[in-house]
Amino acid sequence: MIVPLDIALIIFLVVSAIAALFVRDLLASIAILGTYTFVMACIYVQMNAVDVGFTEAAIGAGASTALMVASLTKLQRYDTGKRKKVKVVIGAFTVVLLAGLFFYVIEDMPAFGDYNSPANKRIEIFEVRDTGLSEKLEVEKLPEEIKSRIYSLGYNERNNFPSLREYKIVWNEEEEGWDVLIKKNETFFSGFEKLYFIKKEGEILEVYRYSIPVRWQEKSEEEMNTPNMVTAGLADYRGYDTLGETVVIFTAAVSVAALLRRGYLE
Amino acid sequence: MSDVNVVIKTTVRTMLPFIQLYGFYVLTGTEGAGGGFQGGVILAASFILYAITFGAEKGRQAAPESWNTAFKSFGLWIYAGVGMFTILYSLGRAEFLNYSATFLSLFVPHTVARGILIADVIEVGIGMTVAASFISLFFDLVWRSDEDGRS
Repeated sequence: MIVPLDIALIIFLVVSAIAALFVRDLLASIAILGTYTFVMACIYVQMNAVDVGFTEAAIGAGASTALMVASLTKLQRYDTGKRKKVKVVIGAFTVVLLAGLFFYVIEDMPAFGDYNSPANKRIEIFEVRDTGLSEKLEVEKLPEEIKSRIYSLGYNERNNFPSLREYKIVWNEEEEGWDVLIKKNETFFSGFEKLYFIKKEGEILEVYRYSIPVRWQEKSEEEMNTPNMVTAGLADYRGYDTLGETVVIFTAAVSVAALLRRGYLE
Repeated sequence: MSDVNVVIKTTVRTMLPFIQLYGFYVLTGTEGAGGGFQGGVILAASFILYAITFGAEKGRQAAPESWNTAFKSFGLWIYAGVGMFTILYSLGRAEFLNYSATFLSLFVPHTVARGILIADVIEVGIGMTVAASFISLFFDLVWRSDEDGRS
């Protein structure tokens, strides 16, 4: 992160967005939107999200600009409509309101790139009073109270979560807590996976559940022999999702063909 | 569109193979950034560039609509077909899109088989669908109804 470059990029982004709105020539407006998406791609790369930046540059600045120019061949080039003042006022009011809401929410967000934020690391699911439970944990047994509490929260076999019958408890030196490794039901990866984390804070035991990115970060290269974590996750862990996205693009092409195609198919 | 500058024509003609090579490189996306979507769009962009420079009719000859239709269905068919195949191979257990459950696992460790399937089958299928879809979207939008291909 280089702060002056960031500020320059964001100013350029805002200026190009406003310019795209106020230009009357639609072709120029599309060209300005192309620069807008390209600046957005630069910002994504600046945030170390190379894959997202790549997609933005290829689809936003490349393909969709070409598609918008192509659709302009069916429309008139200059915007001759008049802007109604009431609409402008309502629009500006909505934008200001949304921006205010964003600024109100932003302080609750985790810091940018925070490795230990709940979304990236783990989330606290409940707390229990330590009435002799930590001694049980030290002899590597999961106390019955914690087990039933986890089950009652819905992480049970009926909802397709792995059962707590076979487990290991390992002391985590760095985080100063216990990792609970649980035997998975998956056909090809039947080893133990770390799912829960228990930490002692004074008289209280805090029980955390690890988020999915932990498995992505630690296991994805080993599990599917693919160095690029994003591709591995998209094609494998989220395979259904990507299949759906491909179907969406296919459907878009088919429906545009159904709407606009007038007998040139050879 | 015969009044396009000769500089533009020569530049596009020189650049096209490199753009397409880059598209194919991005397509697998396992060693570096990228993936099926990005690679497919770059491939489609090369055809769109060709059509913009040399005119829609010549572009139509380079990317015929029958090919587009075939490719965009075939790419999706590859992706969903791998899912179907994993179900068949694992004899009806619910292993849809679990890439370890293919015959490749007999020859190499199943983690390696997963990597091979992601890079060389799944991403290629996505790339085919995306490239053909964007090309046909572009031609559907630019084609005028009074110059339709029926002679």
